[in-house]
Amino acid sequence: MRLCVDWSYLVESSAHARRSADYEHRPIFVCTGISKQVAGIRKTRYEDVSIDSFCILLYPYTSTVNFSMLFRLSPIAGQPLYLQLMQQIRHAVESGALQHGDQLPGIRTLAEELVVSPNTVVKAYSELEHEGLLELRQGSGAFVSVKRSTRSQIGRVHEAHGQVRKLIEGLREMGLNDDEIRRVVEAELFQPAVVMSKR
Amino acid sequence: MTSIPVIETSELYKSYGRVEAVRGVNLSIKPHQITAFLGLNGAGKSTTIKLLLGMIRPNSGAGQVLGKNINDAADSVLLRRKVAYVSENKQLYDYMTVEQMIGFTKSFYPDWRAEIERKLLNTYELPLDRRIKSLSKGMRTKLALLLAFARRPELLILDEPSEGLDPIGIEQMLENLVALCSEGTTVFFSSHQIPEVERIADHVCILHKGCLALDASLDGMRHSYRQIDLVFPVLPDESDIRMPSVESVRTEGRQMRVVVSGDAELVVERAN
Repeated sequence: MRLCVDWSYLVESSAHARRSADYEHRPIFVCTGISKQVAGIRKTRYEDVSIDSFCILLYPYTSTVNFSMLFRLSPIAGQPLYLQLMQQIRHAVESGALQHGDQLPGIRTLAEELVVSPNTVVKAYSELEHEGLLELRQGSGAFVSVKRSTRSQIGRVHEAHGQVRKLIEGLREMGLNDDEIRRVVEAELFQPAVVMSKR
Repeated sequence: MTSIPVIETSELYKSYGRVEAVRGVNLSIKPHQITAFLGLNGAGKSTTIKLLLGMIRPNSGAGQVLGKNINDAADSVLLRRKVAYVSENKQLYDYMTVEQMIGFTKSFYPDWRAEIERKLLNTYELPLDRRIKSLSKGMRTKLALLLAFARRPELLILDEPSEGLDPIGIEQMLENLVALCSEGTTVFFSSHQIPEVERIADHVCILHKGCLALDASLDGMRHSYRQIDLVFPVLPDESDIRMPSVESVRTEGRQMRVVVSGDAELVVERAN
């Protein structure tokens, strides 16, 4: 899969991520895939790049997160788009990219950013409200609401984040490249499935 | 949200001489949604759209659009005020300049939205003083879209809107459609571009040889159909894989591509 990417934008955002990562204790949000904005529809410098060749580090340094970079929906994934959006919002909360009280963009804004039907956003938001992860306030938008029980789960995910980071650093020191690390991790994760299908 | 259908037809039938273009189509299009209208060339999409707009009359059958009868001449006039339509061939007046065309169209619609006109002129980069005759195909399409979008229509009907647009133009058009829908406009568009349909449509209608072959929500389809690629060391017989929920099987080398409705796991289990 080939996409247009604006390198100037990309370099800037990852540099920013690295810079800010040192000075606060909030986690780095790793966003794999390319958002529409990075894909350079409106930017001036384009270059062809393979989608697998990098991931974007995005650091939520203020409350104004660039949502089209946080969320990326794939129409060919075979899963309803509203479910994808729900999962990604959930993931953003679990990883700490979105925190209690953070405001999500309006339905129209997010629909336009992601170029999906507004009904997709409406459905995702209302299902998440039903789950208790979002609070919809009439006229003022959607706010993240994290209950105490979810907070401990978030803590565990943070903990896992740290461990994984250390592990990956260690593997890199051993001289493995990122592709090899990814393959090892995936092989381990999918082990039961592999055994099953060999039979 | 009201759920009175915006478009409703019953047994709509139209033939041109011996050619049966539309053979008993029953549509029911919900408001505030984006519905994609798909089908092969000559399936009857454009004919159906023209029937809905009262541009041609059905041989039999009836239909209502925004509560107005599509067979009634007086209703049809009222209807055209509320429905914006971008035709397949983007009919515009060739001798006018872009500016004149916009001014001319604007004069018919008291609800004209100058801010959308300005915004789209800017994004589409249309040359105001050029004659329409000298515009490229994509430019013509963009102008036709601008005229439809700026009217604040209740219902927007587009016949292959992305045809002739460059990738950036398509992206902009899809964005505009989404924005219009979030303001309450119902969108009904025909297309051959599956990727754009998969992104923005809530609902899909497929026409095949003049009949409605499928009428389903896209989420529902994603839920109920799965495509699985199975790779075998030794290819089994196709009949081993056949189950009630298997819709189609295609083999290539040692690989089998199976389309499943319902429980995909059962098929995977069987394959094991």
